[in-house]
Amino acid sequence: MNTFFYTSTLGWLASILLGAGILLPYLLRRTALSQRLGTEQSEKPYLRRMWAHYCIGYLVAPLALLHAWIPMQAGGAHGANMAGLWIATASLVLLFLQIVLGLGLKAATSLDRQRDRRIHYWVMLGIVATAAAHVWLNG
Amino acid sequence: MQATPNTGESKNKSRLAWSAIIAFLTVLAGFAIWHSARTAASMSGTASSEESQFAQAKAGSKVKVAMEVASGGADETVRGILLQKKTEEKYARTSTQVVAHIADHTAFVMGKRDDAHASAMIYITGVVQKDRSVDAEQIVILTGYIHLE
Repeated sequence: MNTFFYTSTLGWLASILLGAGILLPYLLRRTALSQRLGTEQSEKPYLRRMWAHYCIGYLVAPLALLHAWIPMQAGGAHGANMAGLWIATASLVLLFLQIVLGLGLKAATSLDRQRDRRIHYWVMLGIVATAAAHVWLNG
Repeated sequence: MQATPNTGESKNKSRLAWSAIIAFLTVLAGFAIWHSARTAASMSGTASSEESQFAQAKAGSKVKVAMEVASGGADETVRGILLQKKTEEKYARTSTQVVAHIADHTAFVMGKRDDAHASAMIYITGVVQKDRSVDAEQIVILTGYIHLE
């Protein structure tokens, strides 16, 4: 049952990292939460403080891809809830889109940074919603 | 909002908060790995019953059987045939019929009640009744994870 073990472990690790990646900007930016916890590191520029957020973002997508690849290679997708798998595919596409958006925000070259941050935020909500639906239907 | 003063006290507070967050995430990851390993172990452990063992099991004894569901009716009864384990992920059909009763106390692992439909592959842990049916205590949905020869 190694297929199940690796699939399940990778899925949960990707979910935990996703949660951590989402939380980080709120802990590193000046927010009520960061001030209460004292996690804001105001001596460094904001985009440099976000290095862990970037690393997690780059890590979650390949983890999610492996999480999908292992059961597909073993033929384990047969019989699973297909709606859940399509939703998971959408989640994976959104993860890669999020990386592209994040790279633009990190480079700070965007002409409309506010708009890009808003899209980054809504894509994040889309990832959370689709990942939760996938866990509900296939977990 | 005022900037947090960069004092030793605030640095200690920050260090403590980050340590707590990292520790929480590590515990969460550890729990996820442990939970996955436990479920994977329960999946392979339940495959221990042989066809002859199931045939000889007495009423009241506990059995663990793999079965292919032929019909899962609304009467909370699942009918199918016993599967014989060949390798960790390969099983073969036998001629032995299995009837299992699902009750409120039946726990479902890796799926829900609706997943025990016709052609689904499941592991049942339960108690043999006088009529040779099995009162299911736990059902693990294995569709997609095991294959028939």
